[in-house]
Amino acid sequence: MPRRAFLSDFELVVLLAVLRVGEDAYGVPVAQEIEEKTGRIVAVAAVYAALQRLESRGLVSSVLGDPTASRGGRAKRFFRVTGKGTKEAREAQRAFIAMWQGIPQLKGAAQ
Amino acid sequence: VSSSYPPRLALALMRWMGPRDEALIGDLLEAYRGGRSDWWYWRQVLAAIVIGAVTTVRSHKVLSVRAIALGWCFVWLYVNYVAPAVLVAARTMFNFSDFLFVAGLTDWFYVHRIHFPATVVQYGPAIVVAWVGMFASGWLVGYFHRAQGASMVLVYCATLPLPAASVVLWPIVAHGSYAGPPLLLLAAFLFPHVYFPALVGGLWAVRPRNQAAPIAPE
Repeated sequence: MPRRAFLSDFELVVLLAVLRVGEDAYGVPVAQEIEEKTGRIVAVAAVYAALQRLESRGLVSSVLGDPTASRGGRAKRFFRVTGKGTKEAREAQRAFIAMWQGIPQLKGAAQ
Repeated sequence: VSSSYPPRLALALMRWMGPRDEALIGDLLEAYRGGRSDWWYWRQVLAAIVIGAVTTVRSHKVLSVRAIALGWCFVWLYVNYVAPAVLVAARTMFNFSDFLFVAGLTDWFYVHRIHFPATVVQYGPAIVVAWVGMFASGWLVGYFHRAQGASMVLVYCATLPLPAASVVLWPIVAHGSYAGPPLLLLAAFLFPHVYFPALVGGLWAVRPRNQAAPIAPE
């Protein structure tokens, strides 16, 4: 069986956050989405590091936007989940659901 | 209340030691102007510096080993060959006690019962030589790894306390006790005279050369 590189917990969270934010997915809204949904305070640099790793694996792609004054003339880097990334997220979801099922202690806890 | 300008020192540190990613710098600025606090900005900058260094080391393992080896080889050569020669030459060419006497300072210290000159005469040149050597070691590491920014300097500096840590920890592991110099004294000597100059030298070598991008008013 070929060795497969699994997504880390944080990489998966970042990938899902990019999917949730959609078109406007750059560092700030992605970090905000993670904070809102998980309650974890994240470093924007950690989000970027995870996105860089995901991009090197072809799971997300990025493009530079236009510079804006509110960012001191710096451009936004927009991220988009690729087809391969969506497939990876689906596989992770399937694996997690399979692992979750049949554990009596966790019954009814996933709301 | 946040102003439209983030803390200048934090911004300077980000440009100097953080990842050279304009999108990340812009994101932090945008979030800060969106109402985040100074404390939040500082935390993000410090996290960016650490994460940037770790990411660089992960993606440049061989270069990291080279940076550490380069710094340590220089320190070894300096401590064994350069520093002793410089100290002997300095003592021959310049008598610090005579200087204090001629400058009329010896009496002043004597009258005020301060033993400072003895300490300065004994350790002053050695401290200067240590400072110069460690500054040069950090500078060398930074200069030959400028493409990686401050990451390699930080990695090299992170290895500097290891010998002292092993000297302290080994007796504890082997014999269950430590009988060396007081830890506070050791730290008080090593941090300002060994670690700090290496960090300053390295950061000097990788200082941003271009003019900082202006922060446009909101």
